[in-house]
Amino acid sequence: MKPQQPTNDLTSHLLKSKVVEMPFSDFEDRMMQRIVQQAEVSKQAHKDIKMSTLCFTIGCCLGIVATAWGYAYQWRTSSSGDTPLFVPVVLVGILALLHYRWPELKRRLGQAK
Amino acid sequence: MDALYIRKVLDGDSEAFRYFLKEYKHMAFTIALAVVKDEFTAEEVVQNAFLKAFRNLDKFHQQAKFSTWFYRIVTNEALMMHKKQKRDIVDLIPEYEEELLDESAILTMQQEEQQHLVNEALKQLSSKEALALRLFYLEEESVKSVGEITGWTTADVKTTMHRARKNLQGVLNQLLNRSLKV
Repeated sequence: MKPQQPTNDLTSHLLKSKVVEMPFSDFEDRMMQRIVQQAEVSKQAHKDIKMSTLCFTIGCCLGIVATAWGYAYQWRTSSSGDTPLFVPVVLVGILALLHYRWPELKRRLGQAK
Repeated sequence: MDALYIRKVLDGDSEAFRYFLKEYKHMAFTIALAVVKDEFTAEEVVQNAFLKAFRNLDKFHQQAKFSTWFYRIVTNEALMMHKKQKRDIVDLIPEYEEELLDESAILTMQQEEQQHLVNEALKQLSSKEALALRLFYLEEESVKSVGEITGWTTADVKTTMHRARKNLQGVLNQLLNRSLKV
């Protein structure tokens, strides 16, 4: 693609290759700091996405197993109501609580020691 | 060269991004300044643009020129910032009369004086006109490339360029007259 010739010679003369230099000498370093921070955040976000996908998959599998197990148990004991599902539901609840509160629990356990 | 460093950054070498900072910071600053007219705001625009480019580098298609892609980001960021500022400041750009410009007075000036005069003149033009002039002349971009960077149609670029040249002459005249009076 060939650049078109400017029609006005003076404008061309005045504007050609007259870049305004960035007046802030520490711009590059400040920018690199932000870039490195951004890279770390992206890396962490990537890790978190992987982890959450893994947890979701495990959760799904556990859910299917728990449901199947619940039905099997119900069928064997032929009891009625929601009682057989009570155990897995409580288990999932405890696991979820542990998952979300784990850092806090760990910190408290450390303080107790 | 750009492609090599893009690969490095995409492979996880964040430090390689310094190449783009060194290579494009001045031009990016010039474009941003043409639109926002203030050095501190222009620096903020350039920072945001570089950060955006870093975040979206994987979306850049190697068939296109990196500079075109990056200048488009700078232009969009600058126009967005200008829009935000416009809420507070009313943009009053006068129409300049077509007077004959004393070209010899400008051409006899020192290089630094000329640059100062041009920078001052561009500050007084509308953002759109200053941007068009900067893109067209600085990087010797074609009308088509200016259109690609700004998102304007070819006709729009041509019209803006025509008006910008005319207004630039008017502003230069005014600045020259003022400096002669002083």
